[in-house]
Formats: sequence, C-alpha cells, structure tokens
Amino acid sequence: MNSLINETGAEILKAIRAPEFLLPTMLMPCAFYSLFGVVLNNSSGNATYLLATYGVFAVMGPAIFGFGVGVANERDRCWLQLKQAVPAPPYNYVAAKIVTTLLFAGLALIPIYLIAGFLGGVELQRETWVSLFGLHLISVIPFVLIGLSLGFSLSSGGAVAISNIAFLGLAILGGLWIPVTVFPELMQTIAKFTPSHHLAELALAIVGVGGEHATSFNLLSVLVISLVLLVMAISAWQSQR
Amino acid sequence: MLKKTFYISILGTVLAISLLLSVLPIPAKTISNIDTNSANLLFKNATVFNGQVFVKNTDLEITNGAISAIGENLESSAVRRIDASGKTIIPGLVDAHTHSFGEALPLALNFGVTAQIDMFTAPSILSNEIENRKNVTQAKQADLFSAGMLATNDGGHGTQFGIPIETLSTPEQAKVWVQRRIDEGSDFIKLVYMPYSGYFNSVDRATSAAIIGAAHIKGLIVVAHISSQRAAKELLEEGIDGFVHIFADQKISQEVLDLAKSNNIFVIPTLSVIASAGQVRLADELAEDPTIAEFLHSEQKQQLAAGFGGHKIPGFELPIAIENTRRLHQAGIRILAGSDAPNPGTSYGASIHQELELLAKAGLGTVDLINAASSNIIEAFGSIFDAVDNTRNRRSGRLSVGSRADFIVLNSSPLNNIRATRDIQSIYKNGLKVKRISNSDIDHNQAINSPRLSNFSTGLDTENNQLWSKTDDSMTNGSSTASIELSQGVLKVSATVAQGFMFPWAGAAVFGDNTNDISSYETLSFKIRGNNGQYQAMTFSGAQPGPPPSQAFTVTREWQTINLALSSFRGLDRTKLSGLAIVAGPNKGKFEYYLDDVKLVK
Repeated sequence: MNSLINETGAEILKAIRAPEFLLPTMLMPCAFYSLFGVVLNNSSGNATYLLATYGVFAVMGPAIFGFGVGVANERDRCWLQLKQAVPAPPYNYVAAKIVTTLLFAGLALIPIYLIAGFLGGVELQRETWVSLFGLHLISVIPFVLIGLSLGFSLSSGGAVAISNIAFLGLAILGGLWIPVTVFPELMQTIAKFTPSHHLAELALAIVGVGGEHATSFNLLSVLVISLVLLVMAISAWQSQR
Repeated sequence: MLKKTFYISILGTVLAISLLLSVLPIPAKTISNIDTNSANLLFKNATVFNGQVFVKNTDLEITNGAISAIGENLESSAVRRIDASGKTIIPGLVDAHTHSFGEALPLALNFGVTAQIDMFTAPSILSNEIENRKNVTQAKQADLFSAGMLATNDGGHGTQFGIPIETLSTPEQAKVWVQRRIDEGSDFIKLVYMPYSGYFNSVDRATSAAIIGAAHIKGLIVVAHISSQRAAKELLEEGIDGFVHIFADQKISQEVLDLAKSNNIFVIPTLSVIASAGQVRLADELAEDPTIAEFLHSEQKQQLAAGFGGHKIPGFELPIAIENTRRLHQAGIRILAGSDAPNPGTSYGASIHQELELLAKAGLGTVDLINAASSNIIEAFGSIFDAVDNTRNRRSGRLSVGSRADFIVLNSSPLNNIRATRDIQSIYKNGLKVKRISNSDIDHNQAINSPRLSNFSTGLDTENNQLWSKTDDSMTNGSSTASIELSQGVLKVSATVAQGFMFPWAGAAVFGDNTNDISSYETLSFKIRGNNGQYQAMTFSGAQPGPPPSQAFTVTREWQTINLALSSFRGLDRTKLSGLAIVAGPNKGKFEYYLDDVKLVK
C-alpha cells in the first residue's frame, strides 16, 4: 500500500511537471463542449444532451493517451524492465497509473460541468448530477484497458498514431459529437461494438433522454466489452518484448 | 514528498468535485407557491358543508395541516383569524378520472382539485408521486392516485398513443401482470374491455375475469373502461368494482341496473368527455366563464378548445349518458365525478366544475354533487387511501375533525347553483393557502413583424427574430432524432422517427424568444420535397402536455407548395404563436426532406 501511494504520488508529480502532455487532452473536450454545447447551441435540450456525451469524451483523452502513449514511451526507455526489477509489486505500476487517470479524468470533467451548469443552462436534480459524474468517472475503465493494450504492444511512435485513431474513432462512432443515427447503417452497426457508444447511452439515460437500447443492454455491453479488453490487455502485457 | 503529493491531489480533487456537485443548478420548482403563515388558523363564521348539510355560523380551526376543531364560537389559540362570513367552505375536490401528464397536478390544484384518481399514465411517475402525496406540508400540487399502466391487448384502446404498454391476451398472464402493476406502484387496476367496439381489439371475457380475480386476491380494486351496455353487463357478472365511463350506446336495462345494485359498484360517468366525443361542445362555455378563464393557462385553453375529429363518434349520446346516470343514481348506485382530462374538450381542474353541472342535469342535488367529487370517491376507492394515510391528517373527503385540511372557500353558496364551485375565494391544501396563478401573470404577445418565416438563402434566422432549429420528441422522452443544414438556399432536414413517448416526431422548427400575434393571417404556406410519406405541421402556443395542434400532409419527391388553414390547427391560440414545426412522423422511419419559403398568407 505504501509503495502504491508513493508510486501514485510520483505519477501525479510527473504529470504536473510535464503539463504539455495531459493538459491538452483535458482542455480539448472542454473547449469543444463550450463551442458546440453552449455557443452554437440553439435548442434548449442540446446542452444537457451534449454534457452527457462530452463527459464520456472528456475521460477518453487522459485514459487512452495516458496509457497508450505513456506506457509505450516508458517501455521504449526500458523503464518497465527496471520496474520489474525493483522490489515492489509489479501491479503497482498499473494501479498507480489508473488512480492518476481517475484523478485527471475527474479534473477534466470539472470545467465541463461548470460550463454546463452556469453557462449552458443545464439544470438537473442533485442525484442526477452525482450519478452522471459517477458514470463519467468510471467510463475511464474500458478506455484505460484500450490504452494499456496499445501501450504494451506498440512502440512509442506507433502508439501516438494508433491512440489518435482510437481516440477519434471511438468519439465519432460512439456518437459523442453527433448522434450515431445520422451515420450510414454500417457505421451504426460498428458503433454497437464500441464502449463509447454504450457509455454515452447510459449517460443519456441518466439525464432522461432514452437511447436506442434498453439500459440493461448498454450495461451488459459495457461489461462484455470491458472483459474482452481486459483479456486483450493481459495478453499484451504477457507478450510484450 | 510523494505521499504528500498523493494525499493533497486526491483530497483536493475529491473536495473540488464535491463542491462542484453541490453547487450545480437544480430545476426551479414550477407553478404554485405557498403561504407558509397559515399552519395554524381559524376561519370565523363560515358556512361549512359537513357532508350532509351546510351549517351556518361555523368556525373551522386548522392545526398542522389537519382540521383540529369545528363548531360555533370556538375558543382557539390560532395565530391567524380569518373572517369568513358570507363564505362557504367545501372539501377539496377530487377528480375521479384523469390522465396525469406534464403539469397536471399543479394545474388541477389551481382549480380546487386536491387529489386526482388517474386512470392510466406512464408508470415511471408513480414512485415519485407516492412520495409526494405522503407530504402533508405541501400546497403546490394535487395528490395523485393511479392505475399506472392499463390492462389491454395488442391493438386495444390505450395502445394508440405510442406509449409502450405491456399488453396481455390470455387468462394465464393475469396473475403476473397484476403483480407487475403492484410492483410499479399502481393503486388499483384499470381494465379496458370493449369487445364490441368494432374499431379496437380487446382482451376477452375470460382474461378480464382472470384480471379481476387476480387483483381481488391482492386486495386491489378493478375498474373498467367500457363503451357498451353488453360489455358492462358481462363485467358485472365477473365482479367488476366500478366503471370509469357510463355507456351511452343504449338506455340502461333493469337487469344491468339490478346487477350494478347487487354488486354495489360505483360509476364515474365522465359526462364532460362523452359530450365532447359526441360533438356537444360545452368546453367553450367553460373556457369563457370569467371565474375560470382568469386562471386557465394557455395549454389548458388549448385542451378545452380541442375536439374529437370532426364527426360524432357512434355510441356517445350525451342524452343517453345523462339518462343512464340518472337511473343509476336513483337506484342508489354511487356516482363519482371525473372529467377524463386532458382528453379533447376537457382540462385539468377546470373540467370537474363542468362535470358537476352535467351531473346536476342527471338529477344529483348539491349535497350529492359535492360528495360525488369528494367523500364518495374516498369511500369508493377506500383501501387505496387507507394504505397511505396515517390516522392523523387522514383523507376523508369531508370537513371533519382529524381530516386533512384540503378545502375550498367559495364566494357564494352552491346550495341552489352548483356553478358557485367555480367562484373560488381561496384554496387550502394541507392547511396551507394555495397561491393561485392567474394567466395575466404569464402571458405577453406582440403582432408578428413579417409574414416571411424563413430566409434560407441567407441563414437560419427570420425577419421576426426567430431561429430555425432541429426539433424532436426528446422533450417528451422520445428517442427520435433530427438534424438540419442549409443546402443550396433551402433547408435540408434529416430525421429519424423512432417509437417513443406519445407522439413521435423529428424535423425542423422555428421559434423566437417571444410569442407573436398572427391573428391577421389565414394560411400557413411552404414548399417541401422529400421522401414520400406522412408529415405534420405542428403549432405551439404555450407549454403543452398533450399533442400540439397539428395538421398532416403528404410529401413527394417533387417540390410542391402546401397551404394549411390556420383555423384548422384546433386549439392554436393565434394571438400567442410561440413557434411552429414541420416534421416527419408519427410513422416510424428515416426521412430526408427539403423545405423553403415558409410564410403566412392573409
């Protein structure tokens, strides 16, 4: 426990000392939301709808980039080999990163919620605000697993490119920017296999805008997708060179 | 150092998030406010209706939301004394047949209805309202008791609204179906039985009997929607507890009368809605009555102005309905007042006053009439009230010591003229004075600047400071979606209409910040082309729980000009147009269409 706290502290310190890495991924969703949810918003329901989906978008950045690019970088520099050699449990490395990611995902959500509540005119019951925030926070999990798989299996150069594709692809297919129903059938079908789509629908269900599917179906899908991703991450960890 | 970093960042973030979540805005409360000064008060020298007679020179003392004393020259320590000489106090009214959507409960209270017996609404609202009705310190809305979902089969009455309904068709399903309603919070069971209607499917007799049986085992009352004497007779033989409409296809036979009598049933005739369905327009008189009109909100005016299509629906003969009600009443069968609001021609709260007048035509005297809208309903549905009301502040529908202080103070006595119930001096709920909201508080409008409602060659805004945007039924919890864009000087709309709440739609709408007076125009005109199919033009003149005034038209792949008479948007208040929409729906599917040159024509 002690070493986990130290390890996490170090991760946080690293992120604070190199803000050029995390800051953009945290601020971009906020800027996007201000633009599309508030400034260009012309019908009253939009700010709420977009808060639900952009919240998922906001936590994707720190999760995918923090792990995908971060882990690949450290692997390139043989930092991981060193980690495996030190007398501390190996899972500390991943656990510390997850805690740090949750922390920064939470921080990334704060400005979006502030803008939604005080500029976008979003009004929700107290318990709805809390459950929405909770959902957005735990949305980190599948994206962390995607990031881990990428980080363990790619070089740092490749990880940057692929993370970007994964990030944008999941955002678009998940319907985080515009509803998936405006896309061609094929894209809508693919969307059903993305965690972002189901998480967005769950968030929408919380704010009272029923999605295409039943909530139980969304929950089950997120669970199954997360399990598949977990298996992928573990096998990537074991097969890394 | 590292530990410090860890604890400070975690703690800081958690604190920041907690602070954020506790200051984010929550929705403002709607309509009514309360006068909290009236928790302990004394009405002096009123005429009080005690369920049997009107007693003059009576004092009425209220303590903590309940009636604490009634009598002549009461000694009381009440802080506030109200001189009520010349006033008549009657119990808060109960509407025994409503469908509670949107602002139903505050709007009802605004007319002295302190409880609604709902005969079918979205089950999702029930748990909330069960909590609300236990609250003995609120004076902002009527209490709701509801059947929740209704018992009907595929294609049966109740399924035409697009609300997902768990239908049933065999006796074997009855037990599970009833249990599900109990789990959802239904207070009683509403059954739709119309095997001889010709235009709806219906559950069969065996299934109906199974539902009644299953509900009775669980101690639930079962009431039925029927529209013919034959159906009524069959359900009486199966042990139904009450009817939520009087049938008006035939005069009631002695046999059915005897059955009703020996089964000790109750009947909610809903003469107001039968009149409306039979094309007898009574709602206009109600809407124009100054004691009512002052408090009607624009959505209520719209509900009252609406009608059932243009032709008389067979089986809805008001004279027969009144005659049947008269004979039931004479035979000693309990008649309860219910409006069936917000069906076309009826509205929350207001319509119960008209229902009383119609029931007076069926021979009910003033005492019977007021009881029909208060204590008789409580007695008829007894068990559902017993289950929720503790002995203190119990609901009796009467002005008696220990009862909930839900009552109305009338300016004149209804003894010789039942219309006096409309002339309300003040309304009390849980002993608190209800702040009635009159429509002068809210309405404002100005004449429209320009008849041109679109300018797509330059943008989405109009010369009237309005803006075109997408619109869909997500505002009523539907799941249809739409998007719009300008394309070569016209508006391109992509819409997906999906099954959702009541009236699915998706498309484009134009709205401004203010309402506009368009009463000098006769026609709405626009050009449209797109996927073949049914489309709708919808108009908005106030916040509406029901369908906005609409007209359907068909679209083809070729450009065509559609002209719609504004007078055909039934219920549209042309002095207060807030916006209009041109949308695909209510049929499901994907639509793409182009719109141009939307304008008003004289």
